[in-house]
Amino acid sequence: MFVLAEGFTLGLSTGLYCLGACAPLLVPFVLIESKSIWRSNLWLVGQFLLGRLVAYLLFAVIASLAGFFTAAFLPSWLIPGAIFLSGCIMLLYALGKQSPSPRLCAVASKYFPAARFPLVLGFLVGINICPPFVAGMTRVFSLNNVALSVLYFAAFFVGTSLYILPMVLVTTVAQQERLKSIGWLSCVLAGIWFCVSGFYGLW
Amino acid sequence: MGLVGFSMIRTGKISKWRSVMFIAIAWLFLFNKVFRGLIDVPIMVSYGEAFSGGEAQEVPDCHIAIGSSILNYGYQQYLAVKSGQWSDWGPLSLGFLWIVVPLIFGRSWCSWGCFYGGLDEGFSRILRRPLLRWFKLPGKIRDLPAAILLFMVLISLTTMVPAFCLWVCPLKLTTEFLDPNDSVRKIQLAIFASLGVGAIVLIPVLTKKRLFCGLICPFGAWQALVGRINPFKVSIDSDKCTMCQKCMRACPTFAISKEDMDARSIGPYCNNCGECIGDCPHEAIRYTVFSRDVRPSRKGTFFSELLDPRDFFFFAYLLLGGAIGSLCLY
Repeated sequence: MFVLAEGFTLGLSTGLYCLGACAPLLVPFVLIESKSIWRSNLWLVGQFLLGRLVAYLLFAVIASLAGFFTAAFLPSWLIPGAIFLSGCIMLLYALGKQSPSPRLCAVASKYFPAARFPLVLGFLVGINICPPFVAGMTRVFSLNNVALSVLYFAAFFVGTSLYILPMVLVTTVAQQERLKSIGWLSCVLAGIWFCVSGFYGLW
Repeated sequence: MGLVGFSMIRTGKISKWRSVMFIAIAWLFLFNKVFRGLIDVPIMVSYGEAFSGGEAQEVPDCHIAIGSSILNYGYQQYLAVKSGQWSDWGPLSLGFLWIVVPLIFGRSWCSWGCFYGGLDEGFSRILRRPLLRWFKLPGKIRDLPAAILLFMVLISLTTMVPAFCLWVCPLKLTTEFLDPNDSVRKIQLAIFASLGVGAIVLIPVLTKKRLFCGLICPFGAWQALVGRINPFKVSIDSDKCTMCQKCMRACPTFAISKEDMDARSIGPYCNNCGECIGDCPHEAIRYTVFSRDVRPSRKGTFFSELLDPRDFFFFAYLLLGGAIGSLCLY
C-alpha cells in the first residue's frame, strides 16, 4: 500500500513535466481525430496512455529483474531513436490523413493505420527517459521485487496521467474543420521537429 | 506622429500614412539596435546564453517570443511568485506589457504597433506592381500561423526554451546575433538568414505580400485569437460589394480569401492595415467600431474632426504605436 502511495505521489508531483513531454505529440493528433462522441475521444487519449503504461511496466520489470539501472546501461541510440521514430510516425500519419498526392495518401494509410497511432506514440513517449522516470527507477532498485516494482510504476503512471487526461477537453473545441486543419499542420511541424532532433541525436 | 495623423485625417488615405509611420519606426528600430550592438556589445553575442542553462525558464522581452512561449512565461510567473521575486512578477514584467498592449490594439497591432512589421511592409512597397502574382493561398496552409503558434507553445514548454526565437524567427537581427560556434548554431543561423532574406526581403519585393507577417509570425495568430474582443475592425458592405476581388489582391497578408469574399467577410488574420479600403473601387470596405463606420470625416473644422470620437482609434493607434516604437528604441 505504501508503495502505491509513494509511486502515486511521485507521479503527481512530476506530472507537469510529463504533460510537457506528451503535449506536442498528443495535441495535434487529438485535434485531428476528435469526434463529437465523448467515448471515442476518451478512447483516443486512453490508447495513448495505455502505450505509456506498457512502456513504464516494461521498464519496471526489466529494471527489477536486472537488479540495477542507470541511464548509462541503456544503448545510446534508444532515446534519439524513439524520438526519430515518433517524428516519422507523425509525418506518416499526417500524410495518411491529407497528402498532396492521393496515391501517397493511400500508401501511407495502408501501411500505417491511424487507429494504432496513439498506442504506438504513447509507447515511444513512455520509453523516453525523463528525470521523474529516473527518480522512479532508482526507487524500484531498492524495492528488489518485480510485483512491487510494477505496482509502484502503475501508481506513478496514474499520478502522471491525471495531468494528461484533461487533454480530452481539447476535443470539445476541436469539432471545427479549421481546427482540424491547424491540428494537421502542427502534426506535420511536430513530425519534422522530432525527426530532425532524433536524427541529430543518432548522428 | 502629429504630421501623420494630420495627413491621415485631411487626405483620408489611412493606409498610406499609416504605412509611412509603420515603416519609419521599424527601420529606426533596426538601425538603432544594430548600431548600438556594434558600439556597445560584440556583434557575436552568444544568443543561446539567454535560453539555456540555469535560466531555462527565461523568456526574451519580445512580443513574438511571449506569444509563442506563453506557457513558459506562465511558468516563469509561477516561479517568481513562489520564490518571492516580485520584481519579475506580473504587472512589473515586460511580458505582461506584451500581453496587455496587443489586447488594446487588437488585430491592428500587426500593422499599427509592431516595430518589426514595417520591415516586410517596406520591402513589399518597393515595386508599384508585383512581379509575381500571388493572390491566393491553398486553403490547407492558410492556418499555418495558428499551427506554428500551437506547435511552438507546446514545444517551448517541452524544451523550456522559446523555440520560435531560437529556431525560426528571422528578426533576431534587431537584438543579438547567433554565435556560430557549433553545428546546431550553424543550422539556426542558416534558417535565420534564409528566412530573413526570403520571407522579409525577397518574396515581399516580388509579390507585394508581407510573407512573414501573414504566414509565419505566430503572433499574427495570437492576435487573430485575442483580437476578437477589440471592436475596431475592417468590414465589407455586402450591398456595395460587387465581388471584383480587388481587395483580395490588395491584401498584403492573405487575410481575404475567395471563401471570405463569398461570405462578404474578412478573415481572422486581417490586421486592419486598410490596404483593401484604398483599393476598393466601390467604397464597400470600411473601418468599423461595433459595426459603425469610422471613416475620417472631411467636413467641419480641423479641430472638430480631431475631437470626433470616430477618429479616436486612428489617433490612439498612432500614439500607442509611436510611443511603443520610441520606447523600444531605447
